[in-house]
Amino acid sequence: MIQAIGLVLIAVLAENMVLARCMGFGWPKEATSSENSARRMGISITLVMVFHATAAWLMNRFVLEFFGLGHLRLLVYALLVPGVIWTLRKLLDLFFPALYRYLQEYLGYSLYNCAVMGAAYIITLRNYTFGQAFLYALASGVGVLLVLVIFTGMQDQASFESCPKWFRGFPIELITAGLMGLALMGFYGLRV
Amino acid sequence: MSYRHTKHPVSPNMKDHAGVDTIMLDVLVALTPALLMGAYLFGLRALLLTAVSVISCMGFEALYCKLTGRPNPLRDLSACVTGVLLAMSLPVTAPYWAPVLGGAFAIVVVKQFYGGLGKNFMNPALAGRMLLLSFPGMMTSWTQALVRPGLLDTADAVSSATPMAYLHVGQLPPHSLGEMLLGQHGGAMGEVAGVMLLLGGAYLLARRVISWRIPVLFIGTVALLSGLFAPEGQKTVEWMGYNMFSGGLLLGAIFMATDYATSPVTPRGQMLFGVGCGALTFVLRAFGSYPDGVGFAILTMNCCVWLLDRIGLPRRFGIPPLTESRLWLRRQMGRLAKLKPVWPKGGQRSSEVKALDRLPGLAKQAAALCITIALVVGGLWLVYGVTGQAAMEQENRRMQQLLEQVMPQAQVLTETPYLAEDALSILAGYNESELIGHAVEVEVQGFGGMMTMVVGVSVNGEVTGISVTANSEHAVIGGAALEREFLDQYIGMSGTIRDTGWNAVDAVSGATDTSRAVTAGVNKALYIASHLDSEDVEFMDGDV
Amino acid sequence: MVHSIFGGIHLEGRKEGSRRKPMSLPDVQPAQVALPLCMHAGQQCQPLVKAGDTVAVGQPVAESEDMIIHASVSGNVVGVEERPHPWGGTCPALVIDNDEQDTPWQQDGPSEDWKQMSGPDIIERVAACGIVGMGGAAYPTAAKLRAACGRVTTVILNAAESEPYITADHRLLLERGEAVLTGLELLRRAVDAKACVVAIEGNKLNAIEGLERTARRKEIDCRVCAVPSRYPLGNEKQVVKAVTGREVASEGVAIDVGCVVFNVATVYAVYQAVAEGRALTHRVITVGGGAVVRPRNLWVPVGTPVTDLIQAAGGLREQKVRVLTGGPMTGAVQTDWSVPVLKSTNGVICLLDWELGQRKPERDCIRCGRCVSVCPMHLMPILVAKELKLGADPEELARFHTEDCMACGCCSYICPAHIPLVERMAQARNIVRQEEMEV
Repeated sequence: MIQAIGLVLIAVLAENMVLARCMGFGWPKEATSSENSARRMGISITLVMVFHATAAWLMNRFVLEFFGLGHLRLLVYALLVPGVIWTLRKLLDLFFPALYRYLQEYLGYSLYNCAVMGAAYIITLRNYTFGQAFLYALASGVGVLLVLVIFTGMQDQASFESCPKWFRGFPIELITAGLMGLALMGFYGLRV
Repeated sequence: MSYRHTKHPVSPNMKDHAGVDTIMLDVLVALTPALLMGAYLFGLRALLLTAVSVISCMGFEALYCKLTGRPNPLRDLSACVTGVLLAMSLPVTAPYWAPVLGGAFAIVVVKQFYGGLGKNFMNPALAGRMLLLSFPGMMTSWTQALVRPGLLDTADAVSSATPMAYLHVGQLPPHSLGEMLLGQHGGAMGEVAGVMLLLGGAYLLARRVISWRIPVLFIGTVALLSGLFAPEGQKTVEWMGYNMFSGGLLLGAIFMATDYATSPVTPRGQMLFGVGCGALTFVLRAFGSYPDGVGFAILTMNCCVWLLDRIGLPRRFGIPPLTESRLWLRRQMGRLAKLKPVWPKGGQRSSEVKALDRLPGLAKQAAALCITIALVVGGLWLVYGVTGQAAMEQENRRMQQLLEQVMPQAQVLTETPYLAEDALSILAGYNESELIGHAVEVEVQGFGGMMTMVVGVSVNGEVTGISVTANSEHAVIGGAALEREFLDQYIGMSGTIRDTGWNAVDAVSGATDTSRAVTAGVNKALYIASHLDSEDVEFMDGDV
Repeated sequence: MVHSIFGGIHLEGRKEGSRRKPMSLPDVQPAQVALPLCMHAGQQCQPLVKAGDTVAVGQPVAESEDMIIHASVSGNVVGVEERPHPWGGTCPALVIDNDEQDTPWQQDGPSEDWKQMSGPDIIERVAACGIVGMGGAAYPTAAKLRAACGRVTTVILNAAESEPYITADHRLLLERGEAVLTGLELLRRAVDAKACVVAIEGNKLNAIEGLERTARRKEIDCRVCAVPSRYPLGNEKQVVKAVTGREVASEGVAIDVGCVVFNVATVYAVYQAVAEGRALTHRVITVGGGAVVRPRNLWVPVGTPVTDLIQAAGGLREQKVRVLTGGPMTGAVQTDWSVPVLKSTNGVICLLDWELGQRKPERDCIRCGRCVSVCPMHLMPILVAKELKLGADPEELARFHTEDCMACGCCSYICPAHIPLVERMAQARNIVRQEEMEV
């Protein structure tokens, strides 16, 4: 139980995908334009990450390692991403139409988000069990969701328009993300 | 005509005397006792560092505002306060360029880029200090109190552990609580003098510059949590006391967390902020790798202030408490209820007819995809086949090198099914199916970090060779102990190797810690190798 | 038991000028009084007399559906003229030349058994004497009593004079405490309530002692409740909260939570109406402020121009003076000093520059949050001002409940960045109201 909490804390704080590992930045401009879209983007990324991580773990354990095909890992994981997204879309459309309408295009945006593959690779490298893999992927996704929501919500307190002309737009957003990463620096090496 | 009583726009006709400059002046006055105490404990360099910090902060603010054409805000003294706070969180041995760099970052990037006073989302002084933390040596060498380094040259200042370092590993620091309060211990210039900081806090409370909510709840939460989870063998109250007075907690809770722009404006939000900072500080102190987590806790909560303000919106006058929360909860439950699963309707069968029409197109796409994948897979397989060989050869060479160093008599090292707690792996060395000995890979704590070494032990229990495969020792100081000359001394020894006397190995002068670490590692390996079939070493049956 | 109030500010009382002096009559009577025909919340009154008529003190001279205005001096009626109104602009006023005889109107007179007067009769008497809320809102008291009849359990006397400089109610309590308490008891009978409470600021110790002694001696069953001496305690909603702990909702009145609140001067007027048979023609006004030579409490006829009051207080020390009717926090600035005082004016304050406090130029908000912690109505002026700057979206502004704002001025007072927050709240309120009317 303590290990599970520790794993979740590490995934969300100490090794936050976006802020500590600089990995999950792939989202379109409108994802951070309003809080609603930030929530949708975060939830889609989380869903895709969880499904992808578990599918990748199963694929790794029962196919790749069984047949000694470790050198094909990158390709297989990469192909799994659109496969998972396609499956998710069909499943959600059939069984959870309300959720599908909520997340519609954001599922597609998760396609080019590197946090998805990143989580799968880290799980493989660290030899996590199935339960640990699921938890790690879920917690990493929640970490990305938190960063998105905080980043968007912060915009009604801090204005991104007051900086010099050349810094407006993406540069000040990166600086803000860097400052948030500075805050999370203290959590590196967290162990419960 | 009916008259409506309208309030005149000029009212009120009385005004409180406080302005932004008087508030900042109050903060400076509150900081002065701690600053002077720091100067007394650490020497004149403390004052000089503070002066450099203040001048650079004010200079950068004036420069930035001049360059961007904004009105000069120096009169409101906020840059001055940032400078003093930044200086107070530095060690006295910090070089003079440190507050300049920290000040530039704090003022220009963290404060002015977001719009100046009142519009930044992160505490500038704290962010500047955290930037300087990324220069490794500077922020971790703390001098003891009453050791006053020179104004220009700090080479003679010896760094020592702060009380926080002791608390971080679960021990009580060697100072009494009184000494902690008075500041007679190591630490940052302004953080040590607990009494003076508390005095300053009382002054700010009396002048109504800060509200009691954030400092009291911050310090209280840290005290409560550290008391609840005190390590074994510590008296609760004593542990709480030491936790409250060490590290940057007092400075952080009274001066940094209460910064106007970066803390919530609503009273309830402020209370949540204080509790959150306290909880994060406790988590970082207990489980993080930096000794003191106050700064990071405050910065992390700074990012969430917008959320706390929303949660803490005051209840509307006249509406009973918790009504808004109940309404919100009901709305969220309503939303979640919409997510219930739906059984696919039969009417969707009609879309299958259309799917059949699209089938040829889909089949073509699928075929193209499969061919591409097959080509890629084939290519990868070929490459692996060709280069796999090279990878295996490289691995063999590494093994050979290890053999020569560790167990020259053997020809091959293989894995064994032994598993010991302290050993990373246990290999066996064979020479034409004759067991020469075992090579044990162990980890020891050296001076700069963990060291990994492989020690070969013959079946007679004698050392056949040592190879240090990973270390983080200082190249000059500890490196001498890792030379072949030194390591070869161990060959032929057995039993328990001591540092002095009989069965000893001479440590390399100037590298005592590293030498001792090597000795400890060798002893560990010898012990494991001689206890292979006892209860200390497991034998794993089945697949290794 | 006193319940706690959120918010509010500690103001300097500045009451030393007039606190210890007994109420007095002005040395010189006003030459002319002007009775504005719209001096209360309601319909404008229609005059009952015309130019050239002779009137006596207490004679009804104008009336509307819920209000009667009586002549406050005896003399010749000059006519209806436009006079400046303390609440801004001008208003038709009945002007009477004072013959300084103070002839009472014969049809007035106390009834013999006023102590046994029944509730409805008391309300009739109050209506006939033209009594309004004399603490500032000028709501007709008879209408309030009729609305409260049978619906309230507590009658509260609002003696918490939290505005600086004003000591009229304080002196009235000290010198006419018995009359005030008797009036309170009459009002309790009128609305058929169970309890009487006097809410008075805790630092008026002599008044508290005096009231308690009088209540014991006269066997009047009323509780004296000492509320904290913080600024907007004088407002009705705050008094109700302090005394009973119940909060009046935004569009509601105190009657909704079972209380009815009256000002001290109003209750004294009720006593005079019932026990002495006098209509509301005079009232106590504090003439104070640093600019006045002899600040004091004066018993003056309604409709006296402000210049006469200032003369009665010894004149002004300096030329550069800001004259207010009401207290400094919510009072109206008067530029034309011939403006007459109303039935609900409780003070005429003349302030020098140093008393006004420095009005520095406005700067950007520093997010100190003081405005949130002082607002007694739990509002957030900081967010309203920010929303106005960002674009004044009516939907967003409606979230902040600007209609609850009582314009007490605490937020503007405390803001270190000198932002005129009261104006911003009023602006936001107008925007939201316009939006609602269009929808």
